[in-house]
Amino acid sequence: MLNTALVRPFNICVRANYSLLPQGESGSASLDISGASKLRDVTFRINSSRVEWVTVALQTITPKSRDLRQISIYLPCYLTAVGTDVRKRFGDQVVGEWLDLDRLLVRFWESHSIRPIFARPDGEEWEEGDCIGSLLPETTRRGIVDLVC
Amino acid sequence: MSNSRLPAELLDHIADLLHDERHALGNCCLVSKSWISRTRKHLFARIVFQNEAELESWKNTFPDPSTSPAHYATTLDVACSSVVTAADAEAGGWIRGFSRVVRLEVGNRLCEDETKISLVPLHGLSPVVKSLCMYSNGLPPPRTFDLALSFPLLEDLTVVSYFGPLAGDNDSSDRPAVQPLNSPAFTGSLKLSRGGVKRTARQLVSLPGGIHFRKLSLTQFYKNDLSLITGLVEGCSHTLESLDVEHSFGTTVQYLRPC
Repeated sequence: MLNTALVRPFNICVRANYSLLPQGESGSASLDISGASKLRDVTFRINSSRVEWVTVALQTITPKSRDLRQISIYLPCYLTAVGTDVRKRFGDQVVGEWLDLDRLLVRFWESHSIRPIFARPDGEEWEEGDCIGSLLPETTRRGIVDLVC
Repeated sequence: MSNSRLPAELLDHIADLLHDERHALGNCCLVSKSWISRTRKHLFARIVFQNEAELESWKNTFPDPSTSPAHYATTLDVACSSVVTAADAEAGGWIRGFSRVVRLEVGNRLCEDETKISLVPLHGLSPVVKSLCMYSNGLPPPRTFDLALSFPLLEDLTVVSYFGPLAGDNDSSDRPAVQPLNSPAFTGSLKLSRGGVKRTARQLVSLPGGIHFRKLSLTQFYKNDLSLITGLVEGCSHTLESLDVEHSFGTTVQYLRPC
């Protein structure tokens, strides 16, 4: 059975397919920040490879949040490894969640000129060929993401 | 120096510039009586009671609470809350000397059974407290919350609970008989971590006066806490400018004692 959610990055309205989510993971336990009309910056700190909750939370942001300027995401160390086959390492389900996030971040850039910030917790420099390029192919290809240490 | 022709504002400025030079401030304090106040406000700005020995040292050095420099303190860190509240009970309101504290930090570094610790002596400690930090191993939520509600000007609240929900979560043994008519403004930042997320969020969203935080920082929560966090966001919908969230689902959270 397919799970669907309404994606509302400002004036864009599309249907996202969450069929990759396992049973029981897509329930009502999600973060809704649609009411925060004065939100300027939002930061997500990820402790696992799963990012569905981040995407779902970002989808709730509406055009009312006109002040939003910054989206920051802190990654666990193992998501910054170099030369990893992400599908082999994390599985299709996890990669699918990242691709959903990738598409959403592209839409945030297009609709609101927000460049997401991805930060490494270990303070090391980002390297070419690390996981993030495979997990966020479109945002990295278009150079609309800031990778910081 | 007591007959200095330098204006008082300039002397204050000199002392202010030395605010983190404790040795120099100590020497300045001995210059004359007129220098005592302007140096003590820096020397005693932050008072930390880590353990019973430090508390005893303070009480021996300043046996008379009415003349102690407690009223210079703007930050009070009570890391051994059980010892301090017990000492306060013995000395009949000794802790009230810290009447100008703006930031209060309360913890239990001695790892004592927190279900037996009463925070009532700290209630309303200073009428100008704007920031309260609670570091707890398992303090029953009503006690934490009642302490927060006792400060009418409270803006910032931090609650870090190192353990998850406990059997004592429904405890109300030292809840004050009269609840304050007006809850604090809660207009600054809210930081909740681990067990503190569920416990405190539940109570904050039910406050009749509402919450008006500008910054929310919520770490090490579980997936089933997301609805509570949504409630916090909705409660601050007209004021919230910054949201910082860190989840724990998918990982095993280890609740560690701070000591």
